[in-house]
Amino acid sequence: MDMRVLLISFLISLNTFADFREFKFLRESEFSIHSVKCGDSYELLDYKELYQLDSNYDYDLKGETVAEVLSSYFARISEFDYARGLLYRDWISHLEPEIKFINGMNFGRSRDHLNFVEWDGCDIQIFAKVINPNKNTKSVFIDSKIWNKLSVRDKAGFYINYALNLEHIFANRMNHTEYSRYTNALLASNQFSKLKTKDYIPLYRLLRFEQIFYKNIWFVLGFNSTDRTNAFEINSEGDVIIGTFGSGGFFIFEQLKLKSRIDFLNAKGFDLDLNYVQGSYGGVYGSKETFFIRNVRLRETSSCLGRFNLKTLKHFTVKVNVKAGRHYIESITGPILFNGSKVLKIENLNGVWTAIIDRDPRSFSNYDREVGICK
Amino acid sequence: MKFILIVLSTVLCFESYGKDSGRVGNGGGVLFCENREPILLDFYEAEFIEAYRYENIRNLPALEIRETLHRRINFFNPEVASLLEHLSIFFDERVTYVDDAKFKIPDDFLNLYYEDICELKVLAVQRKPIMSFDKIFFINKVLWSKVNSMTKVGLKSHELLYFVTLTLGQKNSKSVRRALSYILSDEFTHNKEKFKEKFLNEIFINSSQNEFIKLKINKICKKLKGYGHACTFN
Repeated sequence: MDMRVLLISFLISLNTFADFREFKFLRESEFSIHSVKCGDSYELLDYKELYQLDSNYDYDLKGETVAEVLSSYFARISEFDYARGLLYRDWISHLEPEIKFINGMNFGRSRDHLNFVEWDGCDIQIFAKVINPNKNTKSVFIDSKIWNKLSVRDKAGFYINYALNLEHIFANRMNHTEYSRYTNALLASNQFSKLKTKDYIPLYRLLRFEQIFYKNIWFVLGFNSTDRTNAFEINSEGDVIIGTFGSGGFFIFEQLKLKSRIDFLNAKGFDLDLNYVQGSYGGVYGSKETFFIRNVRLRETSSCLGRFNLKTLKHFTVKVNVKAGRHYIESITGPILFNGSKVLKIENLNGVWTAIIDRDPRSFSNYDREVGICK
Repeated sequence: MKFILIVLSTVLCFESYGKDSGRVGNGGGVLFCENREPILLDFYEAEFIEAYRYENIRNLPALEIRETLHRRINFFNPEVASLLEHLSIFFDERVTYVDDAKFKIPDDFLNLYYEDICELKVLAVQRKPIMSFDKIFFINKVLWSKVNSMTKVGLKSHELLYFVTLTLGQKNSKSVRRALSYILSDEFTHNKEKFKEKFLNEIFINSSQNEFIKLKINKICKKLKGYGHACTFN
């Protein structure tokens, strides 16, 4: 066969972004998914343990089929966490070939964190076991005797439990599903519509979720909210107050190819590459209204700031102002030359980007780069 | 070989006790003994070990027992009494009475000893919320209906005091059981100063000085506000 055809076929096959068997999950592990058997009926543990114990919560997802319910789930997740909505949808779409149904299975005693409640006449049973995905074997084992007795909502809940724990247990190396079960039930409940993204952040910290893609920017979620360098805070209007830039490079998200982007109102099209930058949004290096992004590079798509073409610059600093959630570049500093002169900063004066020359002859360095002119 | 088997069996037994959630504080226990009224563990331990008595409150209605408790605490520290009033309202907002279920025996209760005519049951459990509006206190409704006022008031007071000590870093309810046994005992009337010190030290982790207690009350207030409950201490 023509090698070019083979190569093209191979490249096309890479277009689906989440064959999770390609992930080298960092540790060998497994997790279980539980049901509660009361008499002859079965219910997903995630839902029973929240809705039966706490009257604040009630299941309220719509859908007559598993696919419809899942569709509602993904819409909800995407509302406050676009990247995870995409990721989980894709993981679940690839799940079926991983599943082996067995008619009657003894999965043994659960080693998970289970509820403090034992319902009269009921037993908690494992009905599914998930091991690390591996190209050569199935990774999900389900007792079909129990599966066939689950309702549509509980079957849909199984899939979300699976996706949450693929990240929580395998990627984040946690060893129980208490918080992921809670998250599963919370997302399917009437409380969802009352919560904003900022309400989920403490839960994300419990889940050890490392990053979030919020308002087109990757942010790092600190596990210790008193650590200001890694804190992430959103106000009640949904604006980021403090956040450390992430890269979206955490391996499960890599294939989504979601890049951080800030749209500057006074520099349209100016496209910063925010991977591997230093600095944080507000907080440590600035204030709520002004912050610095250091070690910035430009994406190749656009390098013009007014008449200045900055594509020769490797690393520079951007001072950003934020007003009512909108971003403005106040100035650019760094190893910049213009017409052979050292530039102190490029700033916006009365709507015109202007190079302020540094008259100190000692300020030249070997890293300086001459900027060009955009036509 | 026999020794290894014994050790292995012991270890496996602890394993098989099950992994409990890290969010759950060890609960309010009640002893159900043959031919006797069920009794709160806190009172049972005090009667059994310290020979304290509870005749003055045993047959009082719930309201009078609550008033006795409030009066005694208020006498030596009105701010603590006021904090407990706050917590009582908070409790009522965040409690669920659970039907058709038992609560698991927590680790805290593994080393207890009591007469073999008694059975220890968990009547109440406290759980750290994830979302600020989550329910926190859970009561076994069936068992609750079987206990008298002294145990009911004692149990609720136990949970309020346990909320305080958990916030201040305690890992189990032993200090709460001791504190409650001092404050509601018949012996309190003749040992006010001594029991006051003991009560405050148990609840406020070796602090009976007012200025330290104030700081700790502020910490608890901050937690209540985090849970969406107004708290007006300064």
